[in-house]
Amino acid sequence: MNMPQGQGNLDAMKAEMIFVADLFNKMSEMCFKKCVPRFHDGDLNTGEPVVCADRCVGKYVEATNKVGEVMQQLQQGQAPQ
Amino acid sequence: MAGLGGIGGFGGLGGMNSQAQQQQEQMRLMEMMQEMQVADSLRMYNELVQRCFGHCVENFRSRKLDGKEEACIVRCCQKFLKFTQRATQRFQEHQQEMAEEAAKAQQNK
Repeated sequence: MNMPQGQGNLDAMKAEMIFVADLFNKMSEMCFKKCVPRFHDGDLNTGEPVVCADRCVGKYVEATNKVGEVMQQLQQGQAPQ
Repeated sequence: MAGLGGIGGFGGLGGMNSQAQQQQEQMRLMEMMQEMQVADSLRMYNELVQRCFGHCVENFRSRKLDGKEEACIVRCCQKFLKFTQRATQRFQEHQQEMAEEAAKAQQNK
C-alpha cells in the first residue's frame, strides 16, 4: 500500500467527527421535542426544561451506549433468530 | 477502521504496468466502498438511537435510564436490526436475480 499510514487514521477521525456531530444534532432535536412541550402541560413532576435537558442528555448518552452494545452483540452472534 | 491491509498482499507481482494500475484502481475503489460503509453504519447507529430513544423514554425524573426503558431500548434495537438484516437478505436476492436476468438478456442479443 503506498498510502501513508496517516490517511487511514485521518479517515477514521473524519468518520468519528461526523458521527459525533450527527449524534449531537439528533440528541438536541430529540431532547428539545421531549422537554420543551412539557413546559406547557402543567405537569410539575417533570420540572423545568433546563432540568429535563440535563437528564435527557444523560439518558441519551446511556441509550447510545446500550444500542452500541446490542449492535455489537448481534454482529458477533450473527443474530440468533 | 483503517482495515483492508490484507489486499495489499499482491502488490509485488510481475512488471505489467496496466495490471498494477488496475489493482491500484481496485484498491482505491474498495477503500472508498469501505469508507462509505463505515459512514453508513454510523449514520444508521445514530438513527437507531434516536428512533428507540424517542419510542422508549418518556420521563425525565432521573438522569439514568430505568429498567423498563433500558429493556425497551434493547428490544427496539434487536427488532430493528433483525428486521434490517432480513430486508437486506431479501433485497440482495432480488438484486442478484435482476443481475442474472440482465446477463441473460445480454447473452441472447
